[in-house]
Amino acid sequence: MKNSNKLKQTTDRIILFFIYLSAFATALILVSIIGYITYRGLYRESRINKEILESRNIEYEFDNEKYIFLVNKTLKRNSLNITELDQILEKGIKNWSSVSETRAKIKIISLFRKEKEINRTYDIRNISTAEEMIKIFKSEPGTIGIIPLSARGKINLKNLKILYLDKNCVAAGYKVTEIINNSRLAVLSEKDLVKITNGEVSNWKEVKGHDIPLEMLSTADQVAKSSGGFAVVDYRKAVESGVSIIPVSYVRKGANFTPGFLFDKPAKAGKAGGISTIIINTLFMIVLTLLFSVPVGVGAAVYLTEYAAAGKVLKIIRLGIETLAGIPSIIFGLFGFIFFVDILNMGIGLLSGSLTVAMMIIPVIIRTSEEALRSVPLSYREGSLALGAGLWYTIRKIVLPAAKPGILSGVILSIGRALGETAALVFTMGFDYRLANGIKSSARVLSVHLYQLVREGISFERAFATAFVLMCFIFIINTATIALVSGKTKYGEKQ
Amino acid sequence: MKRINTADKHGKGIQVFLFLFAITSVIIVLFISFFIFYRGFPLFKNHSFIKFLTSSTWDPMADKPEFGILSFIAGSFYVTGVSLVIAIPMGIGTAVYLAELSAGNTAVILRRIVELLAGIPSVIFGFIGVTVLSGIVRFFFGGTGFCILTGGIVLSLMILPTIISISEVSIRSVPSELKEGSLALGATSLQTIFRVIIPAARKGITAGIILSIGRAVGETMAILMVAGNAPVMPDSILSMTRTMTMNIVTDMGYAEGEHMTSLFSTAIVLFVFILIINLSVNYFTHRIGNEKQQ
Amino acid sequence: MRDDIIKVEKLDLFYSEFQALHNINLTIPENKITAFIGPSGCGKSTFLKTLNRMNDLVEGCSITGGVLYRGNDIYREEDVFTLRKNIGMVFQKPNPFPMSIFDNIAYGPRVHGIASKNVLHEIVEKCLRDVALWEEVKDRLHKPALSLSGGQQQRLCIGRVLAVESEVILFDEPTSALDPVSTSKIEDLLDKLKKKYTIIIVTHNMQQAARISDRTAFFLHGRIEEYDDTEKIFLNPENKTTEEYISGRFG
Repeated sequence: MKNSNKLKQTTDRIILFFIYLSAFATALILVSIIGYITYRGLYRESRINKEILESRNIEYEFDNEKYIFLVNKTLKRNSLNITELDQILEKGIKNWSSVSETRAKIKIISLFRKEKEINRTYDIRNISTAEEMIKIFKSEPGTIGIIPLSARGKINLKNLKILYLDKNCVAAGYKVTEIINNSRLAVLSEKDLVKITNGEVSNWKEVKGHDIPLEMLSTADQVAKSSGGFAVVDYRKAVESGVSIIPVSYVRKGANFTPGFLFDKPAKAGKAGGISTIIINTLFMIVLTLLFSVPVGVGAAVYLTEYAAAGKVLKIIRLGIETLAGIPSIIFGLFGFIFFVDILNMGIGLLSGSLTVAMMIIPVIIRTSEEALRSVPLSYREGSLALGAGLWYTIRKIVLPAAKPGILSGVILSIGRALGETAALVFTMGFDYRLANGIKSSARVLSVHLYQLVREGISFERAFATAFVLMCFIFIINTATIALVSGKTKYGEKQ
Repeated sequence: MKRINTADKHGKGIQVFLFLFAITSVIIVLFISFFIFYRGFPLFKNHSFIKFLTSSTWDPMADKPEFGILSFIAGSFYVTGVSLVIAIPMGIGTAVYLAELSAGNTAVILRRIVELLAGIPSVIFGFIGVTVLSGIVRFFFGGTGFCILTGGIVLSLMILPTIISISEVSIRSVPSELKEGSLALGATSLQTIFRVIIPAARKGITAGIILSIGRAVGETMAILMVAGNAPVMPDSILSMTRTMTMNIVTDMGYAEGEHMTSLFSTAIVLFVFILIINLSVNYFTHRIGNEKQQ
Repeated sequence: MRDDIIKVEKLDLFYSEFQALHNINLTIPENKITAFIGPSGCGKSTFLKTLNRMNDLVEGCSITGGVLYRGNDIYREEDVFTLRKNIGMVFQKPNPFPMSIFDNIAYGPRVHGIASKNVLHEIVEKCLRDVALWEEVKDRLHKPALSLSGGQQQRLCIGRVLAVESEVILFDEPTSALDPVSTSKIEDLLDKLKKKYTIIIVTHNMQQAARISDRTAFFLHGRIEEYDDTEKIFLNPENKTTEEYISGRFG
């Protein structure tokens, strides 16, 4: 008897522990989701692997002469790597937008006394005075000015900056990058690179490589012949000699979400720029959706609470609403795709998408509005009817105003659902991230944008920033709903 | 003496108008049913319906195309199963805590948390699945991390709020006399909860679970992002899978002709399943209503 | 004989199968206060509601017989709205609308098509004076009506009925939710109002009926047991059960 009691107590305790654990875990899940998205949304710490080191050299050597490159300060790049520079000089790249977030035509000018070898190789316009050069910089923001290193002091750098050049790489002996036991040294961290150049490393295994002695060398050709050699060499020479190049991973830290992200247009499939047009498209979608769904939803709720008499018809209507609420969004998407896009010939765009989402949120609006209408005291209706008012007049003047906070909170709740919808929108509203220019224009909304960024692997940083914005909206909506429900109406307390 | 009454000038017209709004839902459901069947049914002129359901060969682009969705049905079944295994105990546990063991601010805050969890868009759950959960699964179980298990975990987070709130409501609606009766007999509060309250609330809890099965089976975006999307028969909880919803959304972008029709045929199976779920929820909640009246 | 404004003939009332009123016959005199008394569930409130067809709102409610208002059967009339304007009603619990004091009084006139601001202002002031509320609220006409005390709210609700120029006002236990001071104010008010209006009041409080009414009907089990001048009912009832009820032996 005593034993069984003890056993019972133990089981009780285990069960109790489990209950508390579940409750705690539920809270923890939400907190972690919000915390993680906020953290990664605001702050980024990502690694980029680069074959060409960020060596930030200032001069460019051509034909045994040294030059520096000048650009406008407003340009969003501080450095170019050697291959990018070659492409620019050879006119493979004609606009900054392909290597930077700045949109400007690239124009190359130089300040040489006489025609040089470099002018003949590349199409470069010669400028005679420093003043003229500065004038061109002003009128053509995408200008690159090439001046000999020796002429550096002659130019006023007030609105200009030096464009640094990344041209070195890590060369390693042939054994270092060999695959042994399914593993190889694929990348070197920035820290390890510093360690090696400081001479603190004598074996490759100290930097996560194979067990090969590390030999400090100075040219690419030397490294190419060695088994465990190491040297920082000119990238072009390394490529020529065929030596193996080890990329270095750089850690990028800093703010991920910036105000600019909200106000800039997206560019390059979302890889660059912000989400301003996508936010506006989302607003368009929500306004249209509410336009279609609120009158129908509130109207239906008024009918159900104020007019409908119990019976078969009412049962069918209720079953219809419940069924509609349970249909998965992909089915709505399919239906929207055949019915609105195809049969009604609305095309993939705002109108089709909004109508599709409107169908999905009608049950939410009906349910919350009905609750709000039912909570309006019967005595209000009686008082009005006893004064000789009609039912519709009473509903309009007394019942609906009194139920307004509840109805509004339902509407806001349904905005939250519309905001998060993805599956139904992909094939009814489309992916275009430009600003919608009409009711039939394809338009990408926040959730679809997030989905695209992740699925196409475009940019996880941008995805986190987008998710952060989306979560902020959801949080605001949730808080507003609660504030409305627990708040007071204009005239007197909530009943 | 007789004046035209401004109060109820449009009374009858308004009533008809509002009635039209009220039956809109019914009309939409009928339209959806009709069009899904209308577009999906023609597949079965050339391909056997039985084979469609029982074959796991999905090769719509071949010269002799084959349409078998058994592996997708299995995929939906597995991910839903995994999600239920996680979400049911956790959801009921939390509901018991909310209804019986918590008080004051803790309960208010936890309830807000559950509401907020319910409001998170599915694409965010999918994103968390891709960036966090797949890594955790990969760390503990190896593989790619994109599999039935990850999908099930993501779905369980999504259906948790449904199970919690419906279970809490049904636990609360158990009459307090029952509870007091049990306590008066010397039962501990836990015994009361598990022997009396949960059995008395089981219809509501069941309805909540069925409802969340419907949500899990119908979920598309989140599961699409984490479950691997391989159109093969899964052989373990760690294999990649494709569910019915994933099949529809994956091929929609480029499908043509009979291939497109087959997606609607998949939707028919999904839709019928969801209808059955809805009707049984309706049946369960109705039964509860009737019992209360008696 | 005095003028009868309402005449009820052979009225039966059913809630689905249940018969709540049996063969009610009575006449209500004009510009007098008529009180209905009786134990809970005797049908007095139900009967009151048949007089302005508020029972229309109750599902499954049906009647036979007739209620004549100024000689016209109100159940044959199509226009229930004008009827309710002529026969106003004040409820047990004060039920001001969730709007301002001004809008509460102006609601009825607006319902019946008065839109002019000046006219509405006049009506509001007059009605509030009539219910002795003007001095108390004239500085805060646009404050929420729900901020008033219970007694003030009930006087506001009476004022609301006056504003639609009713001829008859039905009171359904108007003071049962109020304190004694507010109750006596309402009773004084009723006494003043009977010069211009016909008043019918349902009350639980027999002293109240004795104090203010001219005629009293005693209801029991959905029937009128006795209907006569108030003095006669309270001092010298004909019916044995009436006497027992009035002396407090049951109910």
